[in-house]
Amino acid sequence: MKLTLASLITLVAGITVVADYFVAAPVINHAASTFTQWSVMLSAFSTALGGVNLLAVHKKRLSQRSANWGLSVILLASMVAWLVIGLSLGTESSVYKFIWDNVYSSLSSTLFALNAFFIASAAYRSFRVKGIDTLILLVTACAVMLGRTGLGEAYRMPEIADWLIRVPNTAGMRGITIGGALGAISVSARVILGLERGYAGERRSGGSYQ
Amino acid sequence: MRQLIELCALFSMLLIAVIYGRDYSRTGTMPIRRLPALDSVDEAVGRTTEMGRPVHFTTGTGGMVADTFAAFAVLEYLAKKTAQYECALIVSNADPVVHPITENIVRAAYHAQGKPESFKPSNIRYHSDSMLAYVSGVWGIMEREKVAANIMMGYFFAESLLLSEGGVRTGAFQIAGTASTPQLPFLVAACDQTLIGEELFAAGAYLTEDPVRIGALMAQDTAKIASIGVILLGALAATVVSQI
Repeated sequence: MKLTLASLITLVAGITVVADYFVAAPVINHAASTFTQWSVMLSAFSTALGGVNLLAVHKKRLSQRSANWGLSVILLASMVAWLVIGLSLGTESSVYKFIWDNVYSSLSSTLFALNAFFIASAAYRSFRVKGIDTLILLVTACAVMLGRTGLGEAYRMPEIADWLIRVPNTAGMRGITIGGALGAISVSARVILGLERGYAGERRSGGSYQ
Repeated sequence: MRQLIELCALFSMLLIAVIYGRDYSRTGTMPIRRLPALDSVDEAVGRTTEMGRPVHFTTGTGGMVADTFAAFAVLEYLAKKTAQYECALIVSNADPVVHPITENIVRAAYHAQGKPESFKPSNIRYHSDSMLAYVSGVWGIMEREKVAANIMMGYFFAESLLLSEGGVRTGAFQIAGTASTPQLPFLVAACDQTLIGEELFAAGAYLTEDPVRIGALMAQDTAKIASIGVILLGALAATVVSQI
């Protein structure tokens, strides 16, 4: 019953939103807009559920004194402190902004900066020549990198690099994008029509023509 | 006019999907080429079982998009395998809407395998909808719980390289899949196996051999061939016109 109801809601909401693109009828346009607003509200409600899950997982770790339970204490204390400051003083308060700028933003920037080193280490592993594919990858990557340096300019490398990015790279990317878009249409159609119900926890997902 | 053409194309795809689906139901001939990345899911579960370590799965920060729905099919298959071999499965989520769905999928898979007692809700974890907090949480799991396999399927943003390099550091066997073109190079570089673009959307059909999914996949391929034809015709027409 629960699954049928979920599928019915998905069908009605999905078809309305798709019809909104094809039909210029005020009733459908308004209904589609309402469904979109509801999805935002549901998403906000789910955030609270996510918070509850986080609390439950770390509370359990604390009560069982699991390994590294001290980290759970830090997480829960930060979570509660952040919530209390935000609710009592407001998100525009100087305390809230101080923590945001000096703790959250600093930690985020540090973590994000690691990408630079990770790109280098991933590239080093990928560029080891193991066959014709990796050889092409290595030569192409070197040409593009040289094209972005002053040394490369002496050997017309920028032109070669631009051509590599503009022609073969764009062609490949567009091929992947078209394939991905068709795949997305196919999956979305199955979800809307209730043929893909694994997400709802159905034991045997998918439908049957038999 | 444009919308009418698009609507016709959509209905044609649906019709082709039904025709191919029925055909597969009748003949039972699997029309999909081998996808090594999906074949290696079994290898990943086998490896983690032998090592007595958990397998980790995540869908990225993309939220409820088509890539994530395609990833659910892989999660369903993976959960059934981990239940069968009694290997721990940890699922990390960055989207609060995706979180209860993954929990539902894993729970249903464990029930389907007759092992409801092995399902641990605390192994399905929501970290944060903030990308870098989520990455920190996943790194923590990889390091502390020594995951032996890391499977990343869905829509990824800048976290793709951070997560996959985290997996490399812990020596995990890594399988990734996404249709996000800016992130594909990073995943290909850092992971052992990668599903590229549309291959992710073929995962459900490939793993379950479900006639509906196979029909949809064949419709997808037919639409791709038609798109290539239209592009070639357009290029030819543009070339001819430019020469006149």
